[in-house]
Amino acid sequence: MATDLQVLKIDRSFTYIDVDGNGVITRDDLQGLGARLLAGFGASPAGTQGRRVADSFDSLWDTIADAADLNHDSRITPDEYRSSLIASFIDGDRFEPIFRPAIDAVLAVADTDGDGLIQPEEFQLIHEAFGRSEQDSEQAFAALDLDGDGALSRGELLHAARDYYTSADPSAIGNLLFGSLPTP
Amino acid sequence: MTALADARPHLRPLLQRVPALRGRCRMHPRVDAAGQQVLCWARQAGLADDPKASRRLHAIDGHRMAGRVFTDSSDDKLVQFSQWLTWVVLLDDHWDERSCPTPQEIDHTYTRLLHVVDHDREPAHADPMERAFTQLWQVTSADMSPAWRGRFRAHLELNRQSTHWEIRTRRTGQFSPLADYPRHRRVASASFIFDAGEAVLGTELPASLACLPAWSDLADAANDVAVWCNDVLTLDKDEHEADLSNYVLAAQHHLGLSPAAAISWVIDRIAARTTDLRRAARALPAVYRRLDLSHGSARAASKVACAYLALPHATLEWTCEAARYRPLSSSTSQAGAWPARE
Repeated sequence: MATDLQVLKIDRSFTYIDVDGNGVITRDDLQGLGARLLAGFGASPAGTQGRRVADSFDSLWDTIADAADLNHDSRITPDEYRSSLIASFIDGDRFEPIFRPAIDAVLAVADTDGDGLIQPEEFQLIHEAFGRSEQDSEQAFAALDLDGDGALSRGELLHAARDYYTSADPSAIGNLLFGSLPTP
Repeated sequence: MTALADARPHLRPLLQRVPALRGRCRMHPRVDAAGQQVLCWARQAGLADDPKASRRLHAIDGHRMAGRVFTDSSDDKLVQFSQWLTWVVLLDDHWDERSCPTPQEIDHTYTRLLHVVDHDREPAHADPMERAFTQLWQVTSADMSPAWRGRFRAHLELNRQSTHWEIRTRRTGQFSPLADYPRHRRVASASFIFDAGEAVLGTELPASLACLPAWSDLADAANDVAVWCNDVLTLDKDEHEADLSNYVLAAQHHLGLSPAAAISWVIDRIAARTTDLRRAARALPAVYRRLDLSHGSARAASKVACAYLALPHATLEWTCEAARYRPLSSSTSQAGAWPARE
């Protein structure tokens, strides 16, 4: 079972994949997100980091599709997506083996100088790939940068992503990963 | 890697100097099935009607190049791009087997291909290559706009010019000026099939993006790295065949370099253009913003950009693997697949 907050966050995350707004997502949509991320950071899909993103996104899609009881070429509706993520990552234990590698892979690409930190401009590129505005990006970065040092560690962002996709705590900072949430 | 590096003596310094080309490309999971379909199509199209033509066809393995660039495409789109690659290589072989075709013969060939592009049908008395091109064109262009057709046509014309250039170097036995090599070599690789790649990806670049130098910077850098890698890896074969279109041989001639120094010179340029390629891709988000592209359009364009980003690495592996590029001294009895990652 998921709380209203968890459902809200999951439903919003559907729209970050379905940027063409046709009401369903396919493997192609997730691959498009991956391409947007890789191209924006100049990472070849044939390179080590690019392969990690592509492979982890494939695994993520397979998990989402399997839990929604669909074959791998099907279209996933918002209701199916919601049920699948709840089953896999909130009620289930698939976050660490499936979702975390995808987040790690994206952060590795975004950490362009390999210093373990994501700078505001790098964070904005990630946000843009998810269809978020510059304002959303600035708000999210400010909220997540608890020590105000102008950078986010990959560990902090991984923790925030886990909070966003799984936490029921209304005060969890990771709830603001993609910007502010609408007040109920 | 050791056996392959021994068979490809110039591969090791290339990978040492250009780390971005290390490792193993992803491969489409059903690439072998695609390859069988391409062979079947080529035979049915009359492109392998004699033993020599059949051997040449089997040595191409274009599907293993396509499978590395379009790793997530549908099976039919993978086959489609593999067919394009195969056709382009067969066209290249057509020129290689003619000792010195005249400019008129070259123009005649391209005029008939352009007839297909302009009229969506094969010319009168079409030969197998023209019929195959027509079939590919009709399938590929079906949902594409006049703007896309114009780009394809323009790139096909550039390929005509580069063919003239290659044949001229062969006919005269003289190297062109060194500065001419990059622009001719990048379109000699039939860059027009990357226009076909958009159709494979189920998208079409917005005209506002395709016409920008920012986009051609990406495409040119990708094509340069790919063809120069090919020139380094096929150097021994090209030298044996006195192929003066090889960039390494041209550098050796014009700059008075030793063979090793010429290889190093080209590898340095590959490294620099690889950096340019990465930089061109990283410039795209700002371009998307400036053009106010929708998020959907930006993702679709990024898929095409990723195909260009993958092109050099895919070309390198395919060149090392395909029998048509096998070194003269190779003792391998089969076109070995790229070895497991070290």
